[in-house]
Amino acid sequence: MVTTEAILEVLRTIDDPEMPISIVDLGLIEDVAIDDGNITISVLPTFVGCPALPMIADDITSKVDALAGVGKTKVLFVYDPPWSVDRISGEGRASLKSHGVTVPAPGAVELRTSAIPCPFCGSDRTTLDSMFGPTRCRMIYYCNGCRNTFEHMKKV
Amino acid sequence: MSGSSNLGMHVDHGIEEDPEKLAEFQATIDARTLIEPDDWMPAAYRTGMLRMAEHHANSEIIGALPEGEWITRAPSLRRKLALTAKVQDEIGHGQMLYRVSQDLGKSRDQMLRDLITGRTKYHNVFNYPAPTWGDIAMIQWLIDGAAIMNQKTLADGAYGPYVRTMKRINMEEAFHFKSGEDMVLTLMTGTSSQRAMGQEAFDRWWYPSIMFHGPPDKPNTLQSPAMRWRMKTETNDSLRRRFVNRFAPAALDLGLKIHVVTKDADGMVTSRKPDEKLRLNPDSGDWEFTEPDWEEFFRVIRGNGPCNKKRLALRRLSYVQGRWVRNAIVHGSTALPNGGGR
Repeated sequence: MVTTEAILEVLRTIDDPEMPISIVDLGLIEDVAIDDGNITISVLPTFVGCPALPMIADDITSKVDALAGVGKTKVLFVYDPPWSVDRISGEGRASLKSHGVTVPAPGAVELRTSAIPCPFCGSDRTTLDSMFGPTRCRMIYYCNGCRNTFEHMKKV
Repeated sequence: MSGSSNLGMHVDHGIEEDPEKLAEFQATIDARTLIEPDDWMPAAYRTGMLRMAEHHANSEIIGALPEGEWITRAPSLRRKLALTAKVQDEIGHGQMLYRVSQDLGKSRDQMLRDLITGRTKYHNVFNYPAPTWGDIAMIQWLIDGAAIMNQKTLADGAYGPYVRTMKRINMEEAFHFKSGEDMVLTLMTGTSSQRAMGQEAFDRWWYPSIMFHGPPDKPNTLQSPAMRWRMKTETNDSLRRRFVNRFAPAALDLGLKIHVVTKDADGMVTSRKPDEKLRLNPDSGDWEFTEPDWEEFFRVIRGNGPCNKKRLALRRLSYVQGRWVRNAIVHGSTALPNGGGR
């Protein structure tokens, strides 16, 4: 009989398609339900317009289906509770930081004037370069200290 | 998308550098320590890196144009959503790469102006047309596939800010490539007209994608400063070989036929015949193929390709239309066009 833990272990091997972080660390997994070998996984989309969702769903079904003792796997996108950056794990934050992507601290209130420390050198002398980063969920910042760009996840 | 390998990497030897500093710089690179913006660097390295990063940034924003045209015509909501995200993604990459370029000593406005006046270039591949949805699929599969191969080698380069940006860009490109694969698969497992559309688009894009990695290597490429300073870490011919080794069999598996084609001035195929040289050489393990028409490559790069004028005209229009916004931000001038009636 397959266990929730075994399924979560598989889900931990699935990374977000555009960032070095597993979908578990990203806080996408809301619930894993097992019913007579059939699995229903409730997934919270980060941004509703995220183009990666179908790929993530396909990845989940194919990997969980391959587990012994699994009948049918269903991925259910749910919008309640809404996903928030607060759901990203500490480990996930560290991995994103080394990749050059920062995440608002849990519960933080961020204003346009808030200093966002540089993930590379830690300097507070950073400026917002563009509200619209390379993905829907990120903005582009520039560090005047080490002169690198980095990306900051939008606070949702 | 994009990459910079069709950029002529001419390094100016006219400037005498302090030999001691030069040796130290080379030692830093050989030790695989990254060069940072405030570190000493030879003038030729600075101009070479600037030209490369600027060319890459230009390619990102021009590369979004053919795809942008297809957002309103995407065949499903899912594809439309993905395409809007991809266009945003490329513009975002362009922004980050312009920032890298600025720190190498050129203002962003100068770069935008040089692009529209034709003083600087963008990747040659974007001078070809995308007349059908099949072209969008092929661009996302072949061209993004070629770009990832190139950019993975660039992410192993020596200039810190460029390398860090490239690492993030590459993960996003890998996502585009997977979507591209899915788009091509959908076409090639579809109706006979879908498969024909896929084949025709493939015929248009196969040779531009082979030329993506730039012209054939010169005999001294490996000894060039660009390689020694790790501005490039793999030669054009080596990248091209890896590209064909991967994509020729993949195309055949999908049921595509690999053709040698002739094209008219608009980039549309006028005749095609099977590539008779195409085969897997069992001794070398490499795929052999008919060489591209390099004269065409140089003709297009000099500005005479099917879409050079169209792409630059659109960029110029957008530069002019955005002028009042830049004025308002930079100079605090709020004079709106048309007497403020927007």
